[in-house]
Amino acid sequence: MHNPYTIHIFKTALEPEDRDAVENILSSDNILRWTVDYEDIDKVLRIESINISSEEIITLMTHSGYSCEELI
Amino acid sequence: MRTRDENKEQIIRQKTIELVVKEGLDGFSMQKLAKAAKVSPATLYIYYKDKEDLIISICTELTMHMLNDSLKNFSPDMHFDEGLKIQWLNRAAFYMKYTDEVHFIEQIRYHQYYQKVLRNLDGSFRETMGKFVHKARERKELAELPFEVYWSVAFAPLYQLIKFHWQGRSFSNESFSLNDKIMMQTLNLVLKALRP
Repeated sequence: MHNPYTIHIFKTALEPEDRDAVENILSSDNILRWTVDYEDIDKVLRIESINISSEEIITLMTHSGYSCEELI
Repeated sequence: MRTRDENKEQIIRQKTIELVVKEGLDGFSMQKLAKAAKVSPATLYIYYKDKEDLIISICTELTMHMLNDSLKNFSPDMHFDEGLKIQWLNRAAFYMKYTDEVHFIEQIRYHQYYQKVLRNLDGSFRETMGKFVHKARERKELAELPFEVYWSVAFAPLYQLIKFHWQGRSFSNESFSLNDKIMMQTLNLVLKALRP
């Protein structure tokens, strides 16, 4: 199966109440869809995007005060 | 950039089924799955956005496989006796071959996730079986009964026999193994009960 977009996966400390703030931070034409797995201890942020690097996303998030690092 | 790997996807599905059957849905987590499948947690998130997405997607796929298999060599135009026999044989074959998969579906069936699984199905199975029952009634091969009564009589005996088989014993026998003779003996009673 071929995905036309890139998937980025991050470890965060996001909670459901951060939703609106994150929506603002990630409102870019390059970001197609994002979800957070709040059930997981790593609160995994999953982003489907085109033409944006993991580093750029990490910068966006951390500059707004949210911890965000690439999940390995 | 991460890419999908069908082999890995297969292992993830297999391990999910094993873990849920062994530890139940509540004991299951993406972290445990990553360990069992020997992949990094990040890899799981390439394929699925969270536990719910993973479970619903696997359960939908298995359910579709099960329903499609039950329609092998089956036509809704068949005489009721013949059609029900094929349904029994197909369902029994699937339950015997895919025991873990069936137990996995059973774990999900009583969870809120199952409603979403049902919404993912296209309705063709339901339509085919509905047509089968409708025609059989028209031809007076099947009694007019409320759906739940019809279904319980038509299929529950088979599922109970399979349960005894899995337990390897019944209430009165130390050992029990389901065979065609026992299945057909039971089916004939069911058919007799369902005639108008």
